[in-house]
Amino acid sequence: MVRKFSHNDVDKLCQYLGDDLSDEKCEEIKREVNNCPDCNVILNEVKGTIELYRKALPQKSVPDSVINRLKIILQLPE
Amino acid sequence: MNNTIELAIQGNKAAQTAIVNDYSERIYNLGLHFLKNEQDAEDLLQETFIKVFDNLDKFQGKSGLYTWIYRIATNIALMKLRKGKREILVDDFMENYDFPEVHRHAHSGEIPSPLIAILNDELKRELSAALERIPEKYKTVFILRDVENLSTREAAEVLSITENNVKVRLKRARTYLREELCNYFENCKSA
Repeated sequence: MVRKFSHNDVDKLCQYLGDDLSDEKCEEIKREVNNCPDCNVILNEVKGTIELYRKALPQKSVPDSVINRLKIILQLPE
Repeated sequence: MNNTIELAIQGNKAAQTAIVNDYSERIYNLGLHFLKNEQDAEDLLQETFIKVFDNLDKFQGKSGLYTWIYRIATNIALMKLRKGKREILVDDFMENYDFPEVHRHAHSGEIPSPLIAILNDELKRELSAALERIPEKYKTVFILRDVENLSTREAAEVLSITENNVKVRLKRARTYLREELCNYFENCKSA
């Protein structure tokens, strides 16, 4: 028989979700969360928050001029 | 320890160039995320690699090279942040915040995914301001884990704290930021 988390368990665990999503514990929680509509909402909010911050703090390429100055300082060939 | 690192330690320019090419973008972006402007990000990049090559012979290979470089870069970024920065006095608040209303928005619906697509300048400013309001130790973990995609173990190594500490700080940062975001959207709804 599959162990069901109590709502309190899931409350706590949902806050950790998005931590190391590949963790075995997290995988188990994700499966359990599917049976908990409220937790699913919270999980999606956490994921949405992280996603928004990632979009707000985008990755940029280093300008060539910056790399060139760095290599000059480090006395490396261009 | 791999060959490139050994050659770089011996002063091989090609190996040093390879390391610069491999890690410059990550370190530059780390600088942008922490310091918020391109000049400071460039300064961070330069100071990081000067320190990397000055100390590469001390790298023992116990962690990955990029974790070691991140550690140097993060320490420099934090020193720059602390210089002349006003103290944010919400640390006690974060420490004692037990997030009693974590489910307050459980029935208000998740953050709708289309909003991610229409992330506008105003929202970006709000997100950036919210991140500035959190104490440094939480912001640092959030940036390393959720923005820079370091694992819990890597972030712990970079910051010289336990993995459990990383998790606790990350949880607090995420919950605080989520609440800030929910408040923003509620304000939008009522506007």
